This record gives sequence, structure tokens and C-alpha cells, in this order.
Amino acid sequence: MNLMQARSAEASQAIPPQDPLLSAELQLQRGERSIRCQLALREQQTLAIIGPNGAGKTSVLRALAGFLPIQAGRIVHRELGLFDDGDPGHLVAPEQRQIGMVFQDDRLFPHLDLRSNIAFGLEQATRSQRAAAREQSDDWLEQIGLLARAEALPAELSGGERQRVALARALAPHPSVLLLDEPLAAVDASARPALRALLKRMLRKYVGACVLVTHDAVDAFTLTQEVAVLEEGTLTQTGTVAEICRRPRSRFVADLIGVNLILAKLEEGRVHTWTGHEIVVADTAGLADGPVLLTLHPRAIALFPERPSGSPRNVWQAEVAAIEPTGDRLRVRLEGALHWVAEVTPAALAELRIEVGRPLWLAFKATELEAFPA
Amino acid sequence: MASARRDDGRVRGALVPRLLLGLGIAFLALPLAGLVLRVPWSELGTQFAEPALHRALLLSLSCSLGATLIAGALGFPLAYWLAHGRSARHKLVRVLVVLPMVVPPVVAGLALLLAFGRLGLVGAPLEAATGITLGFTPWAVILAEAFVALPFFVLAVESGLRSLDTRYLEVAATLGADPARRFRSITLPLIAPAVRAGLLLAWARALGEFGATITFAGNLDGATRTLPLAVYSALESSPEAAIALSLVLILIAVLVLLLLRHHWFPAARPAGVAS
Repeated sequence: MNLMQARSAEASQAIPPQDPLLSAELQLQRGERSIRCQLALREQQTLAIIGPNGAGKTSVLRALAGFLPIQAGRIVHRELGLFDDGDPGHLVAPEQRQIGMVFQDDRLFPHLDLRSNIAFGLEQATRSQRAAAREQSDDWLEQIGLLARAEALPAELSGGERQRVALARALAPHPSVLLLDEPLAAVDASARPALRALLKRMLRKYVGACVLVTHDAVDAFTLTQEVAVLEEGTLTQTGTVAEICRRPRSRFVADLIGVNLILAKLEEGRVHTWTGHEIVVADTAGLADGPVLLTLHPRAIALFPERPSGSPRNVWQAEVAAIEPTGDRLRVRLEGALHWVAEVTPAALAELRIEVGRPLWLAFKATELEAFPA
Repeated sequence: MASARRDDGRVRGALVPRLLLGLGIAFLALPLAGLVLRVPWSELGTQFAEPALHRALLLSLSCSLGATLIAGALGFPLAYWLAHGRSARHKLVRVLVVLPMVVPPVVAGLALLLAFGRLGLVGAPLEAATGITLGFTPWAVILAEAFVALPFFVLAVESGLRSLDTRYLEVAATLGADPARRFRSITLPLIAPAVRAGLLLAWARALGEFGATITFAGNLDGATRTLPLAVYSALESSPEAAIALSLVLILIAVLVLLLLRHHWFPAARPAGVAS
């Protein structure tokens, strides 16, 4: 620890502290696919890397961790120095990078109980260190609500519980960089909201830099401040959640999102979009006042040539910007105060005479909106 | 085959397979029955009190244990190296490792004699330099047994290492564990069942060794006459003694099987080892 502080003091003289904790400019070759990517990770900030399968997201993470040497470029830690510059002689081994990593599969050590799993990354050379490691493990177990099962083996736990332990194990040694590789993907859908909430709580307390690789838009937008979109080995868009939502720069981003994502703010039970329009959400129970992310499935949006007179409480006006086929339906992109994606059948398209440039009314029920803390 | 089973688990179906099944079981059981039926139960006490039997039993146990230790010490690095490569060199060494398993033990004994015997490749210079000869000593027995037992240990451990899930080693690295700690805290505990099985198999093979021992180490009572050699020697003079000695060997074999049953018929797949 002292060495690290000394190194940190030394480094901070040379480099201003506002520099990113970890900066990476890397080039990788995975089979046919070459990956190029530039990232800057700062303390107390979580960057999401989203992208389709095979885009190279996991490879980027593995390069940062040290499992995959880069071909060219540089990975530099502000305090620990150069990690990799494509020269095998300069490659720093994963165990010397002070990284924590959570994988899609929990990878808990099957022969160790929960307490020993979490204590694994803690210094245990002396008897007093071992006692301290046990104590710290129990603190973590308490935080994740599994203290009563400290002596259980991983096989006795559910998938969601195991992933909670994996998260605690990765955070226990206080890594300076935390890498999360699809941490929620393999967990049961029913266990996911609770795990996502725990992850959010942990990340808020975490002082290091974090990278989250995911293909789930809700994870990316609820857990992180910044999003980088990786497509076919190249970063096609980086920006804040708001920027990405407002202007999905590629078809992929919009498709990946799949649903309408609306940034909004909850205040005294009323929800306003970031543009200041009120939007009626049926269920805001369990949400605190503050920024929220609303999702709306494209099929939940009904399109009308005239202002609809019925019951829907959310009625918006927009102009058709694009029409794209998706499966046996058509995806209609609309531009108005907000950007919308609706899905209609070819019959409806013909009936409503939907064409690019045509102004339409769209409506959806308040119950179709799902709200997440953002 | 599940559909061919009744609720009681008996196999239904054609006559021929059922006949073969019965024949197979009989083929395995009859020799055992033949031996057990001929056991001179009334004389067994005097047979077991025979000092020659004690000498053979002691020699067998100590030599087979020594051979197992050698197989483990030399076998582990071999297994580790073999499990982590597929080059031409690896293929060549694997052939070398498996050879003692497929070559007739007599041939293995002859080869050992020509290498470590008094006139052998290593044996002659060894004697010239130190005056030590290995042939016809318990050391020769240990060497012969280790030679034939080594492949069993190497193959068991190598397959354990190959099916070890390396993803656990990756996590351990992200938690700051250097290669030595990864080996100690992750690799070893996870392949422990394979190491145990390898040790037991090697020991069983060493215990039953006959051909290589009699060729390389000879058949000297008290020095190189292990239990199997004693059975062979007793056959002509006193079949009762041979049967009593055989009974001891069978009892040891049954004990080994009992110790191994958890690995061969585990209740669940061992943790951390992919199928």
C-alpha cells in the first residue's frame, strides 16, 4: 500500500491529477476482426461499452485486464504506469494491475466457502492479516445480505446470490479499476432488478473507475454515466446517456436499445421528460425523486392520423422520419419533441398512409411506461 | 436406454444381449469363486503365520509405496507439461509415457536390466563410480514398479489438468494471485480427486507388478520376492500357500476399490471440473 502511495505521489508530480486513471488506446486482432478503441476511465465514473455480439467488447475488457495482449497502442494507469504497449516485454501481468473483474458466469471458486471466496483477494500472509481478511469478508457478506451463509459453498446458492458474492469478491481488495463483463446477463430475469439495484449501490460507493460491458440498454443507462458504442471493432459513438438517447447515431444503437428510452425527472409523483413535457407514468412506486429512465416498447405506441379522442393520457405529435422493416413488421421512426420508434403491421402502414414526412399523432397508455432510477 | 428399462431398472429386450450379460458376469465371478472355494480355511491361520508371507507382504507394501512416491514426484511435472502443449515434442513424450503401460512387463524388465543392470547403460558406469549395484535389491523392485506405474499416474493427472476450468485461474489473477499462489490455492485443490485417483491406480499397478520385477530384480526371498512373485513360487511346492497369498492380494485390491469408489462413482460431478 505504501509503495502504491509513494508511486502515486511520484506520478502526480509528473501528471496532473485530473488526467484519467486509466487511458487506453488499443488495437487488437481477434481472428478476422480487428478492434480499435480509445477509452479514458476516470475515478467514480462508470463507462458502459455496448455493442452487438462479436463486436469485441469482451476483448477490450480482457485487454484492459491483461489477459489479451494488445497489438499496438498503449494502456496506461496514472499511478501504476504502463500496462501494455504491444511489446511483450512491457506487458504487465493481470495480478499486478489492481483490477477487479466480474464475469458473466460468477466463477466463484467451487472449493471455497463464501467467506474464503471474498477473502481470496485480501492480503493473508500473517495470522493477523488472515483474521482481518475474515472480518472484512463478513462485512461484505453483510452488505450483500449473505452473512448467514458465510460457510456455504457456491454450489448451494442461486445464480443471483452467487453473482452478488462475485461482485463483493471483486470489490473487496479495493481495485483501482473494476471491469464488469455482462454481470447481469446470466442471472434469472426475476433476480435481475435486485442485483441491478445492489450493483448501483456498490458503484455509487466505489471510488475507482469502472467499465461495464453489456448488451442490455437498461443496464447501460441505469448504471452508468457514459456510454461507448462498439460496433464491428470500432467505437461508433461515445457520449453521455442523454446524448446517446437523443441521437442514436447508428441503426444499431436504436435497434440495440430496441425500446423507446426517455430520460425524465420524477418530482412529487409527476414525471417530466428532459424536454420539460409532462408524461404520465402509472407506476412510480419505489422510485425516489430525481432522474428516471422510462422505457416504452415500440408496439405499445399507437399511431393516428388525427388527434385521438379516447382514453390514452399520453398523446404526442411527431413527423415520420424513417420507415424500416423489422421481421414481419415495420419500424417507424418519428421526430417531434422527442424521438420515437413505433412498430406497425404492413396493413396498418397502408391504412394510415404512413410515409416519410407525414405528421402523425401517437398515443400510449401510462401503464406501458416502465420507470427505472437513472 | 432409458426406454428399455422397466421401473425396477431391469433391462428388457432381446435374448442374446441378456445371455451375453450373464456370461460376462459369470466370466468375472467364476475365477474368483474358484479361488475362494479352494481356500484352505482351516489351514489359513498357519499359512498367515508363515514368515515368508510376512516378508513378501512387507516388501510388497513398502516397495509399492516407494514406487508410488517416485511415480508421483516424476509424474506430476510430466503430467503438467503434457497437459499444456500439443507440439511434436509433447506427442513424442506421451508415447514414452504410455509405453510402459502397453509393453509386456517382461520386456520392460529386460529394458530396465539393460539400462540399470550391472552391465547396463547407466548401471555399469554407476557401479564403476560408486560400487553400487541396483540389480537384485529392493531398489530394483521399486524401480521396476515405478516404471510400470508411472503412466497410470501421469495419465490420470494429465486428464485432471486438461479438464480443469482455467477461468478460475483468471479470476484468481484479477484478485492479485501470482502463478505460484494460483497453482497452490486453485489448481491443486481442484485437481485433487485426479491426483488421488492417479496415486491409487499407480499403487495398485505397482502392487500387482510381476513380469518386470522378476526379470529385472529377480526372485530372492526377503530381498525381491514380492507377493505376486511369492504366489508364483509357491504354486509348485504348496498350492495352499499360493491360495492364501492370493487371498491377501485380493483383499488389498478390494480395499483400493473401496477407497476409489468416490472418484469412480461420484454422487455428483466433482466441483470445478468441466465434463
